[in-house]
Amino acid sequence: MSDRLADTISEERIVRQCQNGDHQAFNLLVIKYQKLVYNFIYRLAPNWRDVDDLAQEVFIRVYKSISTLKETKQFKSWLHRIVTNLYLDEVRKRRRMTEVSLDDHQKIDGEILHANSSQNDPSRSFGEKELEGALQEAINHLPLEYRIAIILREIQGLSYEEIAQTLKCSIGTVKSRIFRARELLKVELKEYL
Amino acid sequence: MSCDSFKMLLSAYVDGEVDKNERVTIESHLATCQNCSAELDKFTRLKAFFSHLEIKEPAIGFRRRLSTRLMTAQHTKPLWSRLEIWVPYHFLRPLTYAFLFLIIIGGSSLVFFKYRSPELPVKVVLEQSSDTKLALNNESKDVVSSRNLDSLQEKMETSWDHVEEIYAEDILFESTRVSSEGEDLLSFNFETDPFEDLLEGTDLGG
Repeated sequence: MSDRLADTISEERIVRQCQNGDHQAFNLLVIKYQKLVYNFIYRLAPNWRDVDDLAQEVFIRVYKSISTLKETKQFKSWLHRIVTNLYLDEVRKRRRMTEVSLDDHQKIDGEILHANSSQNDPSRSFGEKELEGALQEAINHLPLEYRIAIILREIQGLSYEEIAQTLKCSIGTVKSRIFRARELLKVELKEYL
Repeated sequence: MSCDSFKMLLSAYVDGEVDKNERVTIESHLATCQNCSAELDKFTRLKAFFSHLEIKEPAIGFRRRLSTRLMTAQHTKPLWSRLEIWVPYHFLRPLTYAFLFLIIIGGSSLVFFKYRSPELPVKVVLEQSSDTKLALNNESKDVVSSRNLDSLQEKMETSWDHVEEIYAEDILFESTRVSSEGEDLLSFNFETDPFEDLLEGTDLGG
C-alpha cells in the first residue's frame, strides 16, 4: 500500500470522525492543513494583511460545513475549493471597496508587493530572492483562473484530477489553464529562462 | 501532429499527467524535434522555479486564535446547524423534503375540499337490529321506499353498526330519526336519491 493511499485512508477516517463532532479529529485536520491553507492564500494574495484571519475563516467554514461533505476521500479538493471560493469572495469584496481591477489587487493595501515576502530572509541568496520576487510578480499578473490553476498545481501539489474537482471543471480545462499560465509566465520570466 | 499542438501536451508531460500512448508519441517526437525539446526545457526550468518559493506559515498562536473564533462561531451557530446534534445531516434534507411535501399535499387538499361544489358530510347513526329499516324520503313524495337494512348493508359492504359518513355531492338532505310502531327508522329528505345506484337490484324488504 503506498504512503499516499495510507494517508488517504487515515484522512478519510479523521474526516468521518469530524463529521461525527469529534473536536480532536478536527484539530488534527487543522494541524495537517494549516500551512497548506495559509500558503495557498498567501501565494494568491501575497500583499493582503489579513491572510492569517482568512486562513482561520477557511477552517471555520470547514468546521461548519464538514457534515455536508459526501465524498470524504475528496477532502483535500473540497478544502481547496473552500479556500478558492473565499479568495474569490474577498477579491470581489475588496474590488467593490477600492474600485481597483482584479489584476491590481496586490496594490489594495497600498503596499509594495514584496514588503511582506521572504525577501527579508537573510539565509536566502540574492539570486533566490530575486527569482522568487520575479516569479511571484509574474503569478500576480496572471488572469485569476490561470493563477489559481498554476498555484494549485505547482505550489499546492494537486493532481489534474484534484484540480478539476476543486474548480469543478474538466481535466481538459485544467490542462489548458495550466498550459496558458505557463505560456504567460514564460514571457514574463524570459530573462531567467 | 504539429509542434504547436504538442505544446499543451508538453506542459502536461512535465507534470506527469499524460497517458502511456501520449508519452510514447511525445518522446518519439522529441527525439526528432529540436524546437519542442527546447520548449520542454523551458517548461522544466519554469517548473523548477516554483521550488524557490518559500513555504509560508501562519503566525504563532494560529490554532489558539482559531479555537477562540470557533467557540464564538459555535455559540452563534444557526438553529439549523444545531439540529444536526440530534438529527444527522443526511437525514435533515429528506426530512425537510418530506415535511414540505406533506405541507403542499395537505394545503392543496384543504383548498380543494373547501372550494369544491357543495358537499355535505352527513353522519348517519344506525343501530343494527333485524327490524331496523331505512326509509328514503324524496321531497316530492312522502315515502319512496322502505328498505331492509340488512340488504343495504350487504350491498354497501360496510358495517352499519358504526358511525358512517356519507358524502353526497350537490345533494341537500337532512335526516331525522323517527319511531313508528316499534321500528327504528331514519328519514332522509333528498333532492335526488344518493342510494339509487347502490340499491339497484337489491332485494328490498318492507
